[in-house]
Amino acid sequence: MNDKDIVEMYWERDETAIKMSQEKYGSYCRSIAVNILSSPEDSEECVNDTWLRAWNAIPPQKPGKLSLFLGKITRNLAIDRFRQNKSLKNNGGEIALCLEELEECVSKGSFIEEGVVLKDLINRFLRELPEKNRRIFMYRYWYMMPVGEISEKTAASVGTVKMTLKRIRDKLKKYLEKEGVNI
Amino acid sequence: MKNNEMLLYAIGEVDEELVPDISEDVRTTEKDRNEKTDSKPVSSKKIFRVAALFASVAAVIAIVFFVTRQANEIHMNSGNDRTYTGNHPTNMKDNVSENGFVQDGKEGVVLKEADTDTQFLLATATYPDTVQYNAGRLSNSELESTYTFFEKTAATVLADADKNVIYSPISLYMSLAMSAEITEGNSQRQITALLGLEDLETIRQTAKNIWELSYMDNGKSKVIPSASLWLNVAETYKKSVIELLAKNYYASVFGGDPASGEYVERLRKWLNDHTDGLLKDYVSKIKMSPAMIITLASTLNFSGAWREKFNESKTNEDVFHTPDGDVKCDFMHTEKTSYNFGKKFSSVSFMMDNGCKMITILPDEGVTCEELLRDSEALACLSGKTLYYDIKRTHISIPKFDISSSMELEGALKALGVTDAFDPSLADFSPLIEKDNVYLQSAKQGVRVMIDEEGCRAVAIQTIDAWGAIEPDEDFYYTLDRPFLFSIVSSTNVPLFTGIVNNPA
Repeated sequence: MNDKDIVEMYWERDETAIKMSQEKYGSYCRSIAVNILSSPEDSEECVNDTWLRAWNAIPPQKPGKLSLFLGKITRNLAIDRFRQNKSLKNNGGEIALCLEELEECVSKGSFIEEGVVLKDLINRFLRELPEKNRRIFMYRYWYMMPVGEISEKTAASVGTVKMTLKRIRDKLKKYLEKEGVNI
Repeated sequence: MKNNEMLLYAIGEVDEELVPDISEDVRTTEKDRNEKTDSKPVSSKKIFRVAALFASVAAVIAIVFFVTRQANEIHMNSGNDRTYTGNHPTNMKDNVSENGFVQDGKEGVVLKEADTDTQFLLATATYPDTVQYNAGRLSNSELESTYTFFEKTAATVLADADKNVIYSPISLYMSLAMSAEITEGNSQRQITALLGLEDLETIRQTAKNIWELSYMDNGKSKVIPSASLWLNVAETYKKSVIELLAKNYYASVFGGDPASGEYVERLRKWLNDHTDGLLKDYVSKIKMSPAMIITLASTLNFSGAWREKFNESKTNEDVFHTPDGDVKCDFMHTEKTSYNFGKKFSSVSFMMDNGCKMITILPDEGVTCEELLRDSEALACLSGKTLYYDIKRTHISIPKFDISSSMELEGALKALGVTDAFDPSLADFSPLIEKDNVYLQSAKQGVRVMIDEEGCRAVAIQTIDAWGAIEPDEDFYYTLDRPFLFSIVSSTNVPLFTGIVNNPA
């Protein structure tokens, strides 16, 4: 079944939409949650909550890409879970590392006020990156993939991936400073 | 939230085309993944078998438009001045049955005299089989027109600030669409301008689509719009327009003598039947003038169960601050993990099992409900558009209420530019009838909305479990203990009801 039909079913309040989403994107969403949280149990709960969130969001929303729409829900749920659960902070998946890495990009003491503005800035920043670098960045900070896995996916060595990520973070830091966010 | 966390969230919000889609790659390694995570997916049936056996939200509206002719003509034409042409069968098909209609050989249609009570009913609306499954979609422009209509009318219709006021934008929209069909010239132009659509064909199609997309009845929850036309046996009507109204607006057609008490009783019975008797007081006051040419009566009967239930044992009595002083009423309580907000208000929505949702808006201290009805951000929120939201443990307290309002819409419609149809010397109802001095005598509506937690407790545990994964560490208290706004929107965000609760007690 294609995504358009699944979205139609959500709009028609047909619960089969949940089943089809689980079948088609369950493993995809699970991979995101596992990257972030590591714990299979916590990841599974995030994935299960994803369907309920999707059911509540569609309608009114009409996702362009169902995979990314569902993946984003799982990602947010997993990040929320990480933030709330102190026990995960010491034993979490890649998220703890990703947050450490991203800390390099934001000045200590600065306060990033508006999520919406920040989103626009990141959008612009990513559009200016070469395609390959953007993929590496998104694998790491959207999917929170381990560096080793990114290395396999991109056929680049672990060292190259790490170096690329470091350069992009430096560039992002400068970019945010230039835009007046990190003052 | 720390800066790096905000950055991580922001990366998640970037445009879709910037995110590599790896879902296909992952699917190929699904087997490995399953082994790693030992998944135990929760049955979707288990979570979603919450279609409650009880309605926890019910709302009904009846809108009645009376078109009459001016008093000096009543005397001349009423009584024995009737034209009957025997029992020749009519060519009218579909919804309009042969029963009761005869053609006078020209364009007109007259009604044969009703011998028995049952003959008041000339045609029953035949609903399409497929509507429960959302046969079509509202186009963006159609949806936009309902929203614009809502935006234009809300503040004017809900102008009476001291009382509880409610109205159904979509019912008024449909009644006006039907009125546009029976008017011409400036009378029609003023109506179509208010509807925000240029030509009758578009209006007709939009109304039909709205009807078909809104209609649902699964035996537990329902959204049932109904319409009816009440004709005068003493008059000769243009067949095509009656046929068109019956067919495109799913209207039942009745004929009778408006001077007879029986016919008025029949109208009241129809209104009560279609509103489950919830508006009996309002309906009992409806009268029919002997000079009645046509009455357009439409209803919207709504019920739905909360998807996230209120726990009845937590309901307690507390104080609500009305504009006239404090009153006591029962407050229901629940928690959510987020709430919406605008510059002057905060808002929480409650989903229902029929796909509809109730949106509540609590004005910030010092801001009035009336002010928000002129605020584009609040209006967008009331019509279901997504706004800013904040993830916080949101403690919600909402009063149980059962509020009614009845009002004459004439003033509001005139204020909104529909003036000619009300003026006997300017009104043009020529598509309906070849007679002068026919005008819209009155437009009135009665509405009632009730919410409670009834029947919800049994399934509460399951739904709370399903949401247990998200536990924000900050608290936000959303207490609707002062006048607030609400709306009920359909699954496609068509505004069904909207109102101000000034006193829930």
